[in-house]
Amino acid sequence: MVLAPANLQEAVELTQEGFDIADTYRIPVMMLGDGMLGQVMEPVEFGTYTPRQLPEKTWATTGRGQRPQNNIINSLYIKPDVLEKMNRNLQKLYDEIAQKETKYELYNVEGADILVVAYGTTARIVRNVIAQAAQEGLKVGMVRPITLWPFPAAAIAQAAAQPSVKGVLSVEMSTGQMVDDVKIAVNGAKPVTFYGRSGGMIPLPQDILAHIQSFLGGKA
Amino acid sequence: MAHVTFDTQRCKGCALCVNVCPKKILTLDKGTLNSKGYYPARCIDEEKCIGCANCARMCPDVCIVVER
Amino acid sequence: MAVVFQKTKMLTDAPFHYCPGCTHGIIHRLVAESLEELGVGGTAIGVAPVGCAVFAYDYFNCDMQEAAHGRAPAVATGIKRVHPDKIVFTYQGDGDLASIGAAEIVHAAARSENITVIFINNAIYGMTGGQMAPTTLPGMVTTTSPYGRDTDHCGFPVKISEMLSTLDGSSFIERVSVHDVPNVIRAKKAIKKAFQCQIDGKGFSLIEVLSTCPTNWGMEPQNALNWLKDNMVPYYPLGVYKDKEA
Repeated sequence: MVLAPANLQEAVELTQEGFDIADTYRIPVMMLGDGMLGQVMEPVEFGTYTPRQLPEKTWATTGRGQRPQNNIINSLYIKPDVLEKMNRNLQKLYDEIAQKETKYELYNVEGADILVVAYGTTARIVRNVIAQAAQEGLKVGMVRPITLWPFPAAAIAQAAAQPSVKGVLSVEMSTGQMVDDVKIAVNGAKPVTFYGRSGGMIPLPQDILAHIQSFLGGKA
Repeated sequence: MAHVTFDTQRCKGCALCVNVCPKKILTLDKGTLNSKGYYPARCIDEEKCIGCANCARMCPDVCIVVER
Repeated sequence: MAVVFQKTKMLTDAPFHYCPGCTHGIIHRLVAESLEELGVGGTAIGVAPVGCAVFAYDYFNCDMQEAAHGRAPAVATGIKRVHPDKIVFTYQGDGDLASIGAAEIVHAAARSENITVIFINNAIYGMTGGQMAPTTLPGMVTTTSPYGRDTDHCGFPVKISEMLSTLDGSSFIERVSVHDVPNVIRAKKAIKKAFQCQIDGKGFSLIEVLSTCPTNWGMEPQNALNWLKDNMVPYYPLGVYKDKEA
């Protein structure tokens, strides 16, 4: 699982939850922060997260003791049919995780002209873009993925399907790591455009807004 | 007769030179701040300098030129 | 009057970014002077570490490469095998060489790669803010051993010079210090000898230089040098550990 906090309070809570998710599903959980989150100071409250009920570890190597069988933890399955069965089980697990654990935030999405997809610090900047756009009579909405895997494809597809939406913009602090996932989610229903800065350059609200305006201008 | 030159803008005021000078004629100039905000080292009595270059050998910022 | 001491041409003019009193500056100078005096400045190729000296290529006036953390010996191996007539050196801290790079240095020494390794031992992880390193002394306070390194919990420091000298592949290994002028002079002699070992094609050479980290040790620069002399030298004795010539 990949978790993308957008502020320090979220970083704290998602880290705590991340441990529980890793424990529950036996998958690695990655906290995807950024340089800004690493350097800011913000007030944080601890104790807001309620720990989950965690499963019993019947598979753990604790020494055979009275157990009827040995517990083996491995990843090597030499027989192809056994390995395929293993892969199928893992796929079922991943589908279960996608079903139960996908997290995202919808911000100003209802009736939006332009739908923005952004995570982390970038999403905070997009809130400013949305406010500035509103002053120009432009309604911009945002789907903020909080889990990058599982990716909130259904939420994005649903938001993009609104008749008001003319296009979907993926804003990233990269040269385009998420835009393909956005394109897959939108599945050709609406045009997808990309705005990105890299090297640690932080996108400015006015530049993102200018990109939106030129995108809309081109469509007119 | 010897002469030491300090690159006062490169100096970080670490005082290692001050401590290794056998003639005890180096000090940090507390009356000046260089562009980095440090008190640079300087020689207060060059007459006594023997040009041993201990200071230059110890300087981590290669600030010192010694002539003899 | 004649110039008795000035900056070597094997250092660029770039001002060092190191903390005041950090011994990196002294050791950079010794390495640079050695290369100049041996006349190999034009054929020198250095490999920089990850650590405070990550920008070493801004300071040494020769061709240099970056390497992933701990992997400078591997990069140096590649360079030397392709350019056996060039003088290839690495400059590595204790996190780089003794922690993540422990396997690399052992095998470079075992293979007797004809390179020269300058190993900066300051008993701490410097660049990352003063955590315990494999070279941290028992009882030494760091950010990850706030009550002092407890050997019951965290074991004992790694003595690199001793350890590598047990390998038949290592040719010249000496541990030196820079806590006062006589030791700085001795350190330079050792570094020059190590480069000469490479020039003569005699195999793997490593100079371990006991160094200070005033900022993370929480001491003024001179006090850090004194602490080095009183605490590190007894634990990491100075001297020649391997010399195939001898």
